[in-house]
Amino acid sequence: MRFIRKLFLGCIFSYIFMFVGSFCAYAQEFKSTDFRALDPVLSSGSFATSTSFRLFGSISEIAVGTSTESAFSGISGFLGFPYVSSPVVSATAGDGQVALSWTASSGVLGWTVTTYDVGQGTVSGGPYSYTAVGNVTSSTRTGLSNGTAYYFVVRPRDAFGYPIATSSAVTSTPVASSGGGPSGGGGGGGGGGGPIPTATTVIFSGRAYPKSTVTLMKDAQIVATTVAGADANFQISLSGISGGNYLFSLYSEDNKGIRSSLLTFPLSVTNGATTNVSGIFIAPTIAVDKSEVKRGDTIIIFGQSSPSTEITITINSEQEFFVKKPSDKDGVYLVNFDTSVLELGGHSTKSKASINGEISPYSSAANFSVGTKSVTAKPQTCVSRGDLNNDCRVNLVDFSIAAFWYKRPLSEVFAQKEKKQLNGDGKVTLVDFSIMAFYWTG
Amino acid sequence: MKYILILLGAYLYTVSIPHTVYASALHFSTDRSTISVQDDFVLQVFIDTEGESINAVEGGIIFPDELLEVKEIRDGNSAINLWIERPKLDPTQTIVFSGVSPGGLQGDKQQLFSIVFTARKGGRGVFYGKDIHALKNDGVGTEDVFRGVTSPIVVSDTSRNNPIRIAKAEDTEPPEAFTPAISSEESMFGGKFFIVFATQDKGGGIDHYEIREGESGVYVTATSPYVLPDQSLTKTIYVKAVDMSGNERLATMKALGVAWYKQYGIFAILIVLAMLVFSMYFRKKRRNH
Repeated sequence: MRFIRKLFLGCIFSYIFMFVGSFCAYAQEFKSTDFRALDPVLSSGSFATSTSFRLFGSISEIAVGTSTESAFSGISGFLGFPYVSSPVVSATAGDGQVALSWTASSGVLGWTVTTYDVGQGTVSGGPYSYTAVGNVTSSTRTGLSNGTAYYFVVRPRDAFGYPIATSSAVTSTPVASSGGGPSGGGGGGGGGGGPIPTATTVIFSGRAYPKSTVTLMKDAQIVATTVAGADANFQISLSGISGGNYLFSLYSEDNKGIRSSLLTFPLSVTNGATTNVSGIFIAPTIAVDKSEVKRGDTIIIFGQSSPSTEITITINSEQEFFVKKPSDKDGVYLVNFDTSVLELGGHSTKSKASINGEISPYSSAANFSVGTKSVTAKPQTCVSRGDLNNDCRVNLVDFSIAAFWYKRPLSEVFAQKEKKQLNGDGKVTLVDFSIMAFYWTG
Repeated sequence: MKYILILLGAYLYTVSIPHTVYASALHFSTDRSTISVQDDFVLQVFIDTEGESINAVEGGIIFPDELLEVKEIRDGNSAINLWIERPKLDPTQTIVFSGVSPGGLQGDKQQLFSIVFTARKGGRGVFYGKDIHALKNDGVGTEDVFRGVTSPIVVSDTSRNNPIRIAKAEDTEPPEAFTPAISSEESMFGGKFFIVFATQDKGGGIDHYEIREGESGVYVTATSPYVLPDQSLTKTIYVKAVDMSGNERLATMKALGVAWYKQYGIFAILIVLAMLVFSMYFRKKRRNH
């Protein structure tokens, strides 16, 4: 029996090794007490065939993500480059229930999210019991006990049904609804007061950069700022707001003063309830040391994110390049990229961070061009577009200035500004407002 | 036969690959399924961004004006944060609007605004969007492909015994708290100081804003940007946002350039000091007598 099991395991492992191509030519030795696979030699480039098998050379990691269990499964390679961002989850406590809603995970480069799982548990960090909820972005978990803290995670699944990311846990404690009639001894006045109404509160928690300032905007206006901890975690509590639909945005500034892209999500706030929002993973900042680089020279791509997180940097080109690098204990990452593989012309680079299955959205793009000489990049302190009054911010004042010139012939002075800060077509149209809305800082 | 199978296989293969075609669409929904003459009803206007992140929308809504009359337009609790042009009825009987949501909207049912109509005549008609532009949140304002959707409506000829009336939305919540800002631009108002302000109301929507300069002034209706009559910026400015139900939210802007002797705090200290000096002087005088 043991021999058959050995043989079975050996077959499985050699089957997997066949797909690893020239990577295995480095003659690694895999062994356990049950088996040994020595120096698998496989040729790369072309593929070998026979009537019973075909071998494609490919370079990939063997196993990233999940495996084990009686039904052996190894999900390898492409999951090492995540293309969907984790959902931002909000939980509103109700009577014996929690209403969850989350942002849709959008995939790029062909990844599609087909369904979501909601994991529910009573201990932070798990174990969670998962329920598939379909391709929706909200779910109400019922049958819960009031006064008990519950923890929820949301996992998007890809077209093959594999979970490809996870949100961070959001917690909520269902409360009995206030306003249930007084028991016994009714009549007017007297006795203890009525139930204390809960103030409408929203608590945001997430990750930014160590000791960075995190700014929260509600419906395009700044309402709160906080400083993240040394571990890059932050929490902001907002109270005294009315129930209704809001658009919240968050951004942070790194240790060099570079601003991150906006992380925006809609939130429906219920009057008198406490809503917890978590899974806010602010995208890394990114910058390059040269605005133009001589082909063949190295360009330095750097930025900041949470400490000890895996950063994936993409450099766009005719063929997209990916580099993975962990950030250090201060969240700083730096990559020396050899530009000999890039063609001449303009390029852009962006990055995203991932830790424990949580994936941040993409950073804003840093642009550079590959040419015949290297030019050091000027330090970028202000927003590049949309700042009409030169205060290094894009907010209601700039919006009002643009609104003044909307559908009006522009003056000489303002036409210059429109050329530099907006789309430069000589008039103020919806496109100019859209540009400001993208670069908004509040 | 073999070729048919191959063709069929190829076709099925092609259609089974998940295609993602992104676009946006406007959706309408009414609060009642049957509408009779003289009834009021609410039409909600939504945008479905179909996976895209949209940060600016403009356009017009066409309605059958031979059947319906606009009673009220409600833009409260809108997914649009800042209106460039608030939804209003123009002379061509089109409801025009434009606005932005910094950060971008994403979702299949983002409400833009709702319209309360009164049915005047029986018949059939359609609602549809005209010249709708939805721009992506990509930093260059790329226009998103827009799918036009028409929504039919039928008004029955015979009116009910008690026609349905929709009163103004009951709203006891004031508009959201906000912070005005003072600025000046050489290209606007001859470089004079102006104040800008905007907020949202999650109930029936903002009705108007009022401004008062100083403690003793009067409130005047104002629109943003508003040129300050007192260009010396020595008075505290009070901006009030009033919603459709009359609820108010006040924002205060402290005077920016105030001479030290005009500040009340210092004035009070001066008075106390003066009183101390006086009382010491009187005591001295009494002692001398």
